[in-house]
Amino acid sequence: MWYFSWILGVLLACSLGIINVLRLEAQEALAKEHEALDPLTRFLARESVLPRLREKVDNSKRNSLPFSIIYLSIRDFRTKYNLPEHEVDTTLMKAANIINDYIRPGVDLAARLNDDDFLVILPGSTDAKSEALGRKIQKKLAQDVKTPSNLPLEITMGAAEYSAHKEAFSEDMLIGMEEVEALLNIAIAKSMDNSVSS
Amino acid sequence: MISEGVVELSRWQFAVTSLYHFLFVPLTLGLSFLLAIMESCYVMTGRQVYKDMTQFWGKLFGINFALGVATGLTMEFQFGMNWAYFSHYVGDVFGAPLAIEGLMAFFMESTFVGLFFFGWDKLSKGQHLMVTWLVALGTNLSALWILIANGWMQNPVGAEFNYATMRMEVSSFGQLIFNPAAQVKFVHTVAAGYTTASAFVLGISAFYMLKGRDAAFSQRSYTIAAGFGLAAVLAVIVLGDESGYTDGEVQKAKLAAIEAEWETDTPPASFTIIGIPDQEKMETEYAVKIPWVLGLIGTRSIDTPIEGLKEILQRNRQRIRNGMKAYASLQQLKDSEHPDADLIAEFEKTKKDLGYGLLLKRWTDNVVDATDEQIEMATQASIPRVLPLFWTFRVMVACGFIMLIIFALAFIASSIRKCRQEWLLKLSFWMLPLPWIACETGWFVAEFGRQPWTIAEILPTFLSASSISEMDIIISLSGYILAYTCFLIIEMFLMLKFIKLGPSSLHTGRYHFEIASGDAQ
Amino acid sequence: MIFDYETLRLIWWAFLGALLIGFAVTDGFDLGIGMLLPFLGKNDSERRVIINSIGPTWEGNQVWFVTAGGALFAAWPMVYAISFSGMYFAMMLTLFALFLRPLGFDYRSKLPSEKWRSNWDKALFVGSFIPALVMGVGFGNLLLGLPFNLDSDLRMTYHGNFFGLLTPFALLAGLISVAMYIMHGAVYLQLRTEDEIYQRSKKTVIYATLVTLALFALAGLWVTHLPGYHIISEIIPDAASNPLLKTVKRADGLWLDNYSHMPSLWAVPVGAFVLGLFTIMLSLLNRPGIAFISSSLTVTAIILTAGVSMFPFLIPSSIAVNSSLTVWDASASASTLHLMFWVTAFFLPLIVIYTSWVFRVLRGKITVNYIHDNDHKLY
Repeated sequence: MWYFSWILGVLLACSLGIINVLRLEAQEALAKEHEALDPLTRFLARESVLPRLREKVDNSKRNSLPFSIIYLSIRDFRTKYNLPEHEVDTTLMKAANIINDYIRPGVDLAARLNDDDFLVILPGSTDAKSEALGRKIQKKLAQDVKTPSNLPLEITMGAAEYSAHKEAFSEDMLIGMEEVEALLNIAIAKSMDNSVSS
Repeated sequence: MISEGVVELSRWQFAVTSLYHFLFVPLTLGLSFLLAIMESCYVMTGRQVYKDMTQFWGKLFGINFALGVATGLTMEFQFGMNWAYFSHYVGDVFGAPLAIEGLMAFFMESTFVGLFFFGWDKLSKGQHLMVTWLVALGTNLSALWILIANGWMQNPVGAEFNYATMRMEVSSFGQLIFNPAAQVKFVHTVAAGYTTASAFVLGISAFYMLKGRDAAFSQRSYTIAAGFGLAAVLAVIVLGDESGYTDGEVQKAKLAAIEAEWETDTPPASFTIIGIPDQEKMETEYAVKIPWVLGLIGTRSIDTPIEGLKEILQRNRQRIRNGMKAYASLQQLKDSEHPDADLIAEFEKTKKDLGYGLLLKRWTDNVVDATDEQIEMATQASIPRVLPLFWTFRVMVACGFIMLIIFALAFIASSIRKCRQEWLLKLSFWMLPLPWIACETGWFVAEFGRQPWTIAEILPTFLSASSISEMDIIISLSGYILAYTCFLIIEMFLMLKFIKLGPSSLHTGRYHFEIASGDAQ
Repeated sequence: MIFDYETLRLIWWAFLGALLIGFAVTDGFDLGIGMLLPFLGKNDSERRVIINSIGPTWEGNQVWFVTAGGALFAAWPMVYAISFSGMYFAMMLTLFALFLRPLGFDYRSKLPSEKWRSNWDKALFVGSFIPALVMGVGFGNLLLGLPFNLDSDLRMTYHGNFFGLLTPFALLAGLISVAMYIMHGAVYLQLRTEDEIYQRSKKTVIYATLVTLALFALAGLWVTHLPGYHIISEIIPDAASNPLLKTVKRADGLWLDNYSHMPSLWAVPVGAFVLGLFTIMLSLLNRPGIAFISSSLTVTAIILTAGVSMFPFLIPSSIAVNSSLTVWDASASASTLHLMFWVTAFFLPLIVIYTSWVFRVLRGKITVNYIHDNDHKLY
């Protein structure tokens, strides 16, 4: 009688386990759908990435592991060249694809912060690593991305690691979204002096 | 007469080698199913992370499996090497499940495990999934047959003693296979294996989440382990309770010893939580009892008494005297050229107590003329020592209940996708050693509780050993301890190294220690 | 019950032989390749090629050995008990050597350190050489008889020690075992590899086969003078298993008795020679697949020769000849043999079928490039 119940029990436990997992996958997929994505690049939109950044900040505080962000911008190219809409989009798509190649799918996050600005979040990375990666991406963008009419672009990049600034933030008594803003600003500030032309 | 030293050392050696073997077996039993579940999720959802899970936990499974195989070889050899008389005396019954284990289970698991590791690129998704399920089935069938064998040692049904061949012979395979002791043991033991593997995956996933690493990977691993583990630990506890049932005399003695029931209490008997049992005085000092609990759990009734050890001893005393007569009768049968029907009938009447007569062989070769003193010593030795059983049992049950609570919490948390709580993750991590402690204490209770018998009421441990010298065993025992310690160190080293690396060890480019270093690609 | 006790005992003698031969034909080439590892693999990649040629399948092959042991326990419990407890140290040595195999295969390439890997290579060599040698020595000792006796309770006492097993004839048997596994392993390597390793294996096949056949011939000549055993009391093939009820004679050359009663048995040892030569020829002709079949049959014939020479003896006793264990008096009960027959008859073909499927899935040459491309997924 127990042999029979073993067979039943194992089948039941495995099926329930698999069903439970599938249910959770479906839930997560649903949640993801409600996450605002930028329609063009399929990156996270600003309103989705800021809460995520906040999550990362909280995580990092808890487990003291580093994480970094890279801020990239194709500076002012709209205003510089008066391009038609579709050319702007094509350029941005090229840039987005290149950025995608350099990040770990499912681990790193890429977002379109503003019209021409991108943000990459790298969990587990230190300053040095994110700097190096940022430079690589910047170089690649400079090499490969031009407008369809082959006009050159200026790419700016700034990287910042959260843990390096954690102390400073807590001294200034910044909490929650304030820390996120502050970190972003540091990265943006860095990018001001760091531009490469394609 | 065999020397006490040889028997003692043989017992120590068997204990060491089997406890060592059982460090690796439960993980194999359970992890194989977990792998099958993870891979099923991969095939059903197509999501890469589940394939990574199957391959990473599969790597750990492989490191563990190697030692399971190595230590398992020892067990197969040991029956013949160190327990030769046992092998002759019960081989007709005991050998069959072992042989079937080889034919049905070992071939399946060993053949397909190779394909599991090496066949990813050569098989379709469905084919590889089938291979993984067959590995899981193979490992569990292996447990089935060895536990049928062990179950028969605890409750020897379906076999009769044949005086012409001086051994036990099978009378009913049906009874052997469906032996209730075997059934309960099997489900209880594999459930313990499932619990162990689930705790392993749960604890290590919790470690990754505490470190903020590989979130998607570890959260899913945690969820699968929590569900499977909860079902497993519930099954273990229910079947543990079921094993408390008394099929056969030796099980009665075992139950009484585990609970330190010296006297037959008026039902329902009370449960002693802690205390220090004293075998000489036959009482338990500093006992803390809960009334009624033992009677209710042990007999599931309020009026069936649980026999105390004193009563059992009285019965055994009488059975030893009967056994002497059985032995005398057997000698007559063997000595006569053509035994007549009366002689055979005489033996048949008393043969169920032959084993008890054999207990005397520890003190005298001349069983028929044993002195009263020797009979008394045999009687006292006819039950196991209470103190070790009492405490190991309680340790095992405590571990079981702690795991139940943690698995329940883990399951609830992961079902509502809130398993990233630090306190829960820490608990899950620190739970890691518990299943192993429970498994080892459990086996101790099962085997030590059967003493002084190797086959309950049929063959005493004392008679079962091989006629080799003490030096032989000292050498082999030292060899095992030395070799096994080395292997354990190597295995743990490798295991820890790969656990620390985590799924990055798969070199897929998707995990924590890879890329984002700015120097890959 | 369909079969009578006598038939069951014969069937189980055959099954035991089949399991042992199954072991030799499958795990035999694994042992051979393990022994050849340090010699045919000159650098890390080549050694990984060699290891991975048997990596996925060696464990399944070893199960033939485990099952043979289990079947021995079930069908011939006295033989199991006496051989394992009597040859205690030989068994221990084999066991400890066998430990090195699962660990060696799985752990060797998990770390990049050269020292780690070369140590495990040595371990794999030892783990293959010792079992091959000791199993051969053990088998040789069966032909000589083991020094044990049975008392009236059928309790066995062994009166020898490990060094007593290392007599010249037994050592010769050990060397035959080593040589034939090397031959068999080299043929399999020729089948699964290319380029340099292929050429080296091919050369090895020739030498190993010639050595095997030469030693086998030597053993055959020796056996003509070796004391053999013969039952002189009336054999009751379906009596209850009690070895003490018979009388046995021991005299030089008696192992050839079966051949004189049934001359067609000569086909077996002669077959071993013929097939061995075929193996060399096929290997030279670059047909390793067929050569593998031929070497499998060669190994089968060698083992079968020993089996048919000894029949019906399983373990003769050199000091108390009447305690010898034979097919007719050392078996399990009829009902056990019967049940085990059905189980085996069902599972053995099934095992052969799915094992063949696995080998088929994994077929093809193992090359150095394959190792480099799949570094972390292979042994």
